[in-house]
Amino acid sequence: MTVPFRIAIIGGGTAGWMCAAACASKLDLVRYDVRLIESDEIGIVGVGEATLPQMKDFNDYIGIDEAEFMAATQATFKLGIEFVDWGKIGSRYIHPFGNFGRPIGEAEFFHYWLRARDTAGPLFDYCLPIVAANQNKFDFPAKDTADPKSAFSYAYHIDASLYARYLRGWSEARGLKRIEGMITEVKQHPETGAVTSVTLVSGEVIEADLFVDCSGFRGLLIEQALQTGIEDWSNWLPCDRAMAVPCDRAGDFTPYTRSTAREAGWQWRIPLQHRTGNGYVYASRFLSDDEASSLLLSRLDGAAQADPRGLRFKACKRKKAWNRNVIAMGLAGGFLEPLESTSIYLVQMAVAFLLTLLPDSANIDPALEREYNRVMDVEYDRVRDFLILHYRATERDDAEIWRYCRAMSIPDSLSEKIERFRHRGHIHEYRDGLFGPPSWQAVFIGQGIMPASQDAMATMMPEQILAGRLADLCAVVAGAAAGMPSHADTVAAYCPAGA
Amino acid sequence: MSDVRKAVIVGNGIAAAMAAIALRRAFAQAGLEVTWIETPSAISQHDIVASLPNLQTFHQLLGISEADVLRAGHGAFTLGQQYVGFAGGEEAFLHSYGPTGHPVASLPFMQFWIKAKTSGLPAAYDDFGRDAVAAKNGRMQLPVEQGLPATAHGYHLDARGYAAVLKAHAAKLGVTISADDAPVAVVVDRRVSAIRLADGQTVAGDLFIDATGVGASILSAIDQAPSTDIAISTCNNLMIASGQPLRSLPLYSRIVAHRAGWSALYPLGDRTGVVVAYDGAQLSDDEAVALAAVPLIGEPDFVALAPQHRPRPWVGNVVAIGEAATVPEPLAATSLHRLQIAVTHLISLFPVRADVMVEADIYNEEIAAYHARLNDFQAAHYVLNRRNADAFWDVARKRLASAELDAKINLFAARGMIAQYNQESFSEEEWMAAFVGHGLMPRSYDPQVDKVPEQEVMANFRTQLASIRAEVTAMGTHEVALAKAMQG
Repeated sequence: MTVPFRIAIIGGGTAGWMCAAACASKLDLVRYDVRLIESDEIGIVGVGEATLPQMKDFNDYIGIDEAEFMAATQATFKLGIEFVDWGKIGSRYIHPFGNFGRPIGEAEFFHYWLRARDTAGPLFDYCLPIVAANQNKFDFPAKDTADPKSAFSYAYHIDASLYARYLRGWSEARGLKRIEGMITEVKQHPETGAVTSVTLVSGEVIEADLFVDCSGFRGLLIEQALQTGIEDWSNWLPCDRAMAVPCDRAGDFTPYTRSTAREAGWQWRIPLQHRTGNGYVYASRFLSDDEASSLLLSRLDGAAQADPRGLRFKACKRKKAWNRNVIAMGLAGGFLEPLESTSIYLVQMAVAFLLTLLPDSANIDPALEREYNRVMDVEYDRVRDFLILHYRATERDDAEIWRYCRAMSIPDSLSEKIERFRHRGHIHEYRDGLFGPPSWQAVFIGQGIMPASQDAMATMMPEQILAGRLADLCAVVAGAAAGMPSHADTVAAYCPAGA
Repeated sequence: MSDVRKAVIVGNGIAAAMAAIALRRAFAQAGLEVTWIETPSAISQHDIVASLPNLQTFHQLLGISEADVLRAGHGAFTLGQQYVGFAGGEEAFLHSYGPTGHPVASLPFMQFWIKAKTSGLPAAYDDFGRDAVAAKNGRMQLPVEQGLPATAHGYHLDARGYAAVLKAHAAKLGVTISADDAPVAVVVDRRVSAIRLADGQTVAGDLFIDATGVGASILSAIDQAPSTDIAISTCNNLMIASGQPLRSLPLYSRIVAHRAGWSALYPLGDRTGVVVAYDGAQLSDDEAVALAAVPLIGEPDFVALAPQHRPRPWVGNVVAIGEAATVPEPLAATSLHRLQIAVTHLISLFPVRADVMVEADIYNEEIAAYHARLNDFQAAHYVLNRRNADAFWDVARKRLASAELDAKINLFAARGMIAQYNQESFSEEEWMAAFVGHGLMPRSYDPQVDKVPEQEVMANFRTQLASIRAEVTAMGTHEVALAKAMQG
């Protein structure tokens, strides 16, 4: 029997417990000695109450029962994100978890719509999750891909603190060791700089071969000990504060997250079973904390349940998420504002890549670290460009932040994407990472960037045939949505949280 | 439609014909006029075409009959490429075009194979590829509506016969074809406005396709940027010949390393294509002839090899394709595949405006990325060689690999995974087959593998091997498949 490989997960927020749960499910805990160290004295940030459809894949991957998990986290269903007042004041669109239309010829559906857009009605009418979301309806997607009700996926709104608690119970039941205690010291190898141990306030010293830093913004190991550094993206994503407050459940029980552009950023609204989560993400140079707090409180659709709680951050990515024997996840790995609900997605990708690339000896193969950093960089960079697009693609000039974003320089990778979309509706497709063509199409069209032309192949279909197929598609989508139960009924029947 | 109303193709051979067919087929309904000014053929009697499996789908999209192609090209099927002697001995491996191994417990097959191999499993990686086993047993499966899934196969074709089929198809689709010995580009404001023919007449157009071969005479009129050297070995000579046909007809090409390069056999219906690639400083033409593994028919061709490409094949309103855009390293049969990529992208990025072709930048980026990954795959065969007694192979081994290939090799050696980038042409399994074949054995495996009981894995492996044996036994021979396919 060989000596077990020791892994210490530092921090027990959403990231720490997701990583712990995956280890408990997927690793041989005799060969891998995995421990999670957290302190009850440190609150968790619990961002990411809104998620992406990939979260279901993660839960399936580690073997979590959906209905049980939803009930335990006061969860609701999510078909997309509604963006209000982004392109201009008075505008609204939904970025859906699903495709626009279905294949109706050799070109992509989107290009047929572009060609016929003067008579074909809004693009968003060709997307089932959007039409259903607008009627506050929800049903599970059909499994048969020929069924028009199959072309979408769904995510959840969850209480992230409850999710961390749920995963803790789940992991501990499977033998994962949790250690309570504040960390007072981090010891490094004098020559290699690798972290060798952490010391708790009790004096206990915990040694490990690999450390997963889930300690949040401060990056206890990755930054405070290893001084890895960040790539600063705050020039492009100027928001650096958030004010969050829950309120009573009131108004529509929406199967979507709402993001409303405001005078210095944007406000989120996330419907849970027992309450509604709200927050104002803003740039401190354009708005004071007090103003943000009172503006947020004045714009709730139910009574506030607490005083607003403030968060500070900076849009950035850690230069190396994997540095020596430390892998940083969650807020310790980088921060991208929750505009597209990517926080939990980035954690689950980090966890999945880590397990696949996990070293089996303290002498870590550099190829593993290199690949991990490559794939995580791809993930962060893709999300970054997509987020910046939301701020850039606006006609608003009513507040300083919007004037700033309209004038700021943007990454070349993004300006090329915008130019190519304007020219002919071109969307670059990638092998890995978020987001696919329908997401880009939704934001471009929803925020008023209209291509001058389209794929030449889409002009081949005779006009009348095209008009007929488009009308049929619209009717199919409307019919499928009409047959769905309400979001509230589905939640009540499938995953009620109880008292 | 786009305001590009007329496309003019200048050049010859397979590249010119494919572009003409694809453009006409895609946009004739919208009234695109396609004119092909055909320059004298550069194809030799010995030239062969070796395709990857996706040529089948490509033909279907273009409306080209497989039976016509096989008959005129004296064609044979190919399920892969066998590499022999790259480690210095007689050892061989097959790069099969089909999949290898089924996932176990949602984890990649390779990860379980590594663990099993380190504890003594005798079965080789390619024993788990149904198509690899079929190829070695001379068996294959054509697509049928029900029953066994088809083997993934490409073709070996006589280049002249294939080009003739394509030209006839272009004419049938309404491409206007005329011959001219030395057409010249008429340039106005750094764009080509027309082509001037030998008799002084001009042919105007909106979009020009340069398929004139090395030198790209049309594109060069507006873009003098030099071609970049993309050589990955010191092979600078090719001997191209025809040999006696092989019986029974093998289902793969065979590439054998020799002391200063490699030699390849491409089985065709009526002959064997023979290519010997070599470093002229280390091997004479006569020695190259002696390396042909089959008796030759007629006199071989000797041609200089200088792999190169134009960094920007699309400039202004001119797109260079085929050898006008790139002369790839001949190892691993990527030439035709590169041409297919070029033509496919030309169609999907067909310019929407005649005056400003923003598509050029997208096209050039995509093509460059595809080519870089194909170059990597070819380079891997050289870089990973273990012939320690030959100067040629020592140099090849020490040549600097691209950052991407270097990362691929290191990651595979560490964990048996393939780092895939955008625009990859070869699947992870094809990369793995090449890496394992060249003796790269991963040092570790995904720890999630240890959660699956070993007995369960072994039972799964046995089932996979048994099902491969049964399926291969049920398949027919190459000759039977060819006869059937030629009936159409």
